[in-house]
This record gives sequence, C-alpha cells and structure tokens, in this order.
Amino acid sequence: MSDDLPSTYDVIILGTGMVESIVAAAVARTGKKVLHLDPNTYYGQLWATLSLDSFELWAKTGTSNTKTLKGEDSFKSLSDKALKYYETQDERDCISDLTFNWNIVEDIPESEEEPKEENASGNEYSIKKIRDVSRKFNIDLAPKLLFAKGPMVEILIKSQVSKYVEFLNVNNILIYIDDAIERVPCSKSDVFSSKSVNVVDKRLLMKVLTSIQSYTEESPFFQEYENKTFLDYLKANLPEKFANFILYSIAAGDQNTPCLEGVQKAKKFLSCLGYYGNSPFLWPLYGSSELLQGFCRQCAVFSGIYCLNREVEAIAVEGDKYYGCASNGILLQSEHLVVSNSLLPQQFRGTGPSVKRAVLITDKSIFPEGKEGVSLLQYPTDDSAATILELSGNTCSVPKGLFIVQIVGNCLEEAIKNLFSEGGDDSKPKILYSLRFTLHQMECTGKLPENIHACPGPDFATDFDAEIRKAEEIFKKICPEEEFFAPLPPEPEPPSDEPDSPEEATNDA
Amino acid sequence: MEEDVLTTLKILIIGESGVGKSSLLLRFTEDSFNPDQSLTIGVDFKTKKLSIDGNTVRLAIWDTAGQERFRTLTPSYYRDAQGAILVYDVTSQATFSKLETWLSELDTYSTKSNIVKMVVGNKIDKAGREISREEGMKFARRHATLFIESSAKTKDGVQCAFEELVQKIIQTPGLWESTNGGKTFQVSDGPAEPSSCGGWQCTI
Repeated sequence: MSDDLPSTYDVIILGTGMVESIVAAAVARTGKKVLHLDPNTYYGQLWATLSLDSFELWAKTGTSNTKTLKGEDSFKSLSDKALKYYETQDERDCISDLTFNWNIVEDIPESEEEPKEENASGNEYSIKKIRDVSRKFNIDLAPKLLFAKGPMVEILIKSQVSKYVEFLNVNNILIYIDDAIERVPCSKSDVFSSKSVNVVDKRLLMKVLTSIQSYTEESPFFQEYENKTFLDYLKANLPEKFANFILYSIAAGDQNTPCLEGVQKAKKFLSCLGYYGNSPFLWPLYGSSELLQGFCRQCAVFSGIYCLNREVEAIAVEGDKYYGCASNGILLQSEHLVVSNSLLPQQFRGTGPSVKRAVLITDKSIFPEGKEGVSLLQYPTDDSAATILELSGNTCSVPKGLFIVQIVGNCLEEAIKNLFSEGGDDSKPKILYSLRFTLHQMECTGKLPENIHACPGPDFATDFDAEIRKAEEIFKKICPEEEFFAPLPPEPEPPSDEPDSPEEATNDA
Repeated sequence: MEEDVLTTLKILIIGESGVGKSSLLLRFTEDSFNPDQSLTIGVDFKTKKLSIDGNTVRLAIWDTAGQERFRTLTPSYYRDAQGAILVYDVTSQATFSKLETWLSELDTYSTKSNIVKMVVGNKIDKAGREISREEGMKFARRHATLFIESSAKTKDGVQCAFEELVQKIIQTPGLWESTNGGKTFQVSDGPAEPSSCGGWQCTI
C-alpha cells in the first residue's frame, strides 16, 4: 500500500510537531500540494499526547539513539541525477537521563479488593487498575498553555482550526512561597476579594498592577529602573511576598529578569484576563496535541496527504538545493522541505539548551481548596524556578480521582520532595507513578539549502508564542506573496430543499 | 433560533477510500451527487437538522478529509462522537474485509463507550455485487451494529441510515447529554472586550 503515494509535491513536511503542523495547514490553504510524513505511528513527535499504554511504551523505548546509517551508496540507485544524500537522525536524541517507576503494588488480590470509589486514597490503587483505564489518560510530552489573547488563539480563530478544539480555563494560578502554596491574586476582583491580603497591601498591589497594565514605552514610571531588575522595582514598591507573586507567577520571570522585560511580560499576562473567565491561560481539553492535530486535519481538508509510520531515510540535495526525500525505496520530490530539527542529518544538527522534566501521576491535588481543573504553580528557588501544571479528571487527561502533574525546571527534585510524598505522609499528594527525563533542544547548526526549513521542537516556555512566530517565518519563505492564514472565501451556498433551515446545510469549513 | 434543537450530535463516517463516504454525506446534507467525486477534497464536516419522533437534533457529520487513506485519522477526529457510520462498497470484498480494522480503530479511539455504530453497504446501484445483503447483515449482527444498504447515487437508504442512527443515539441513555458541565468552550472572535471586571482594562 505504501507506494501509491504520488512522487512530486510542492512541499514535503517531515515530522508532525507543532511548528510543522501549523506550516502544513498554512501552505495547504494557499493551494500548495503537501505531503506530511512522520516516522512514528502517532501525531506530534515530542509534542505528542499519549494514552498511558503508549506513554509507558514511549518511556521504555528510552533514549536509545545512534541510528545506524545505511551509507550514501544505498540511495544511489534512486535517481540518475548527481545527488548527495544526507541521512536523517532520530528524535529520541532529544531525550536523555530517562527514568520511570511505579510506586504502587502490581495488583490487588481479588478478595481484598473493595469497590473503587473516587478519591480513594493511594493505597487502593494498583498498577493493573490504572493500566486498565489506560485510554482515559492523555499525557502530554510537551504541555503548553495558551494566552487568552495570545498569537495561538489569534491563529486558531483566523484559521478556523478553533472549531476542532475545546478549552478549559486554567483555574488556579498558584505560587509556592514560605513553605506553602498560595493563590496568586491576579485580577482586580481577586485583589479586592482576597482574604489573605490586608487593606494597606491591597492598595499597594493595586497600584503596582495598574501601573504595569497601563505601561507604554513612554511610561516615565519605570525609566529609573532601566538598568535594574524587575525584582528591584517590585521590592521598592511592595512587600517581598507580593513582589514574588508578581515576579514568578505573573511575569514568569526570575531574579535576573530586567525591569522592562518583566513589566512587558506581566502586562501581557494581565491583559489576557477576563476574556475567557478570570484566567489569562487556556488549556486544550484532551491535551496540547489536539492543537497540532487540528492543524493537520485542516491541511488534509485542503488535500494534504498524511502518512504516519513512514520514515524518510535521507534528504537528497542537488548542488546547493534540496531535491527530494528518499523514503521506503523511492524518491519523493518537492520544491520545499519542512523538517523537524530533531530529524536533521548530523551535518546540520547540534544540541542546544536542555531542561529537566517530570511527569507524575498522583492521587490528590496539590491545592485541594482550589477549583477542579487546571492549576499552574510556580516554584521559585534561590537560583531557578520550576513550573508545575496539574490536571484533574475534568480535563479528560486523567481518570477522575487521579491527577497528572507536569513539572519543568532544573530544580524539580526539590519541588517534588516538598510537594509530594512517596508514601507515608497523607497530607501531601502521593506519587503513584513518576517519569523523569532531560529534554534537549536540537538546533540547526549547519548551512541548510535555502529550500529546507527547519522547525524547532518544544522549547521551555509556557506558551506557544515562539512556535507561531517560527511557523509564520517559514510560511513567508515558502509563500512570500501570501498572507499567513488569510481568511477563506465563503463557501458557495449549496442548493437546499429544506425549507426550515436553509443555512443548516452549509459547510462549516 | 436554537431553542427547538435538543442537542448537537457528532457523527463520523469511516471506511476505506472510495467506498462513497463523502457521497453519502453530500447526498444526505445537500441532496447532491457527483459521479466524479474521486478523492475527498475540501469536505470537513457538514451540519443538518433532523427531526425524529418530535425531537429536533442538529447533526455535525464529519468526513475523513482523506486521512483514512493511510489510516492516519487523528485521535481528535474520534473524540466525543455519539455515532459512527462504517461504510463498505458492496461491489468490493476488500472494503468489506477492512471493516474489522475500522471497528477496532473506532474502539481504540472513541471516547464514548456506548457510541452507536451502523454498517452501511453502499453502491447497491452498481453491477458486480460481491457482498450479499445477508453477509452484510451477518457481520452487523455479530458486531452488534445497525445495518442498512444504500446508494448515494439513487438516494436509496441514505435518509433512512441517518434517521435510524440518530433514533438509536437518542434512545441510548447517557450518550448525548453534556458530560462536562458546560465548563468547556471554544475560542472565537468575540468577546472583543473582557467580559467582566476580571480584567484590568475595565475602569472601576
């Protein structure tokens, strides 16, 4: 079946990561012929969302890399042209130091087994019981949030990919400070209604947040801090606790964040409040990869061809131009190649920055007094911060009663130690399963032919802003004349013999 | 405008390439038929109101957008669907044999365990039948699905297929009532302004 694939395209896209998928939809909408391939059996590569079974399999596949190269000669027979072949590499090179373990019994004998209730304490879970509901898990490899008024939301609306995805608010914006988790008052109403802030502090907090919100480049207010840190500014105007609230939770910064950068980041956060409830962030129901699947579907609606579980072994270059892809014994040709950095041939790929990541399954919320749903907790330490995202059952990412906790940051061990228990301490959420790894960003280091466009994998930011920027940049190189996600012409009204609802039969696309 | 609509149901159409999935969809929603519809182009999903036993429901019927060709439908395609139509071509044994795979794909990805399934043998207007009505029915009975034969070309059975499927969905308890307490939402052009004083833009 594999080779009823047509052999020429305008654009071949290799990898179904976020940037690649956005580019796929964008170029297909302009009428370009797209082939979108992925070596895995699932969508998303390191951006994937997996069931528990698939997630465990992904973990077991581990970091094993060093792909055996076939040698350039094995491709020579594919074409009469004088082509140079560069063999692709394995995305698993982005993962190192991967460990995982279950912290509960394998199985509970039938006789002892009591009917399982929601909120059952951790002792009553077994690996088998949890694996039995594997498909109720949607575990993200690269969870990210959307700013309510950020570029991802804007593109989703413009492209109409928004109709494929449902969202929840990130209900609880939290910070770990003075050995306890506290809710961060973000909006005016939060500040007003907060019981933990006294009247004097309320006034100070309100004043600082209002100055940040009304910041423009001319704001004289911040100019004296031009060469100082955001923390300097905050500490000069607020008690330390509230300075930390704003620095870590609202500006997602650290002690070294320059003042103006901090002000801009905090302003962005504040200006996203109130559009979709009292939270600046949205979380996609069923996980982050719903977004990229939506873009892929749109590409398919515009005639893009999809083929997963399909490797490109080598990239063929003629002179200084990319020519085609060697895949499964044939040469697929295209004008442009869009490729994930993680798959780039070794001549072009280098290792960039890295960060520690952990995924936990727990039996209790870190903040039980909060609203059910999605919680974002910043965990600052003296030299760095960890960002913790907790998902409960109503996110459709985990069975009811259990929680998925995603942690990013090099100080994550300290956060795990202080927030969770391995058993014994019932006051903290118990870790039932944990996985830890280091995620490396791959970078394009060599000089690629100009018709090859490399896409970064997941970065360490909380939002998708950089991905949208990169996708637009690549789109502009492939379609310099076109607008990025230009509105579609309205669908012609089809004939309808339904008198009651003439508009009902129209295509929603 | 919405008050008379009971609910919106998500219906999937799956099956091998070329069995007439898009043709069934277009026949049902637009009463049109294009004999040259070779490969699915530009069909995403279509909506149509349908009244059954005095209840009006809105159907959102999702085409595969050609992603079935190399079996690369996204998991998100299957999410929250209440009904699925599995189509084969009665003149092609191969498309009938593949139904098992499509059923197991559906079982893997559908998020509702009681999703209503209907097997549809299409193209009964065509000469050269390879699958008898009895064979089709037997398969459907074995897998506890509804069954009908149809022709998108002559309209035979098309309306009936959707009506039966919807009737069964409405009769299935717990299948179509909202499960998430209405807490989820989609993003759209509005609201242009923050909806409440939750934001910082509003002046107090």
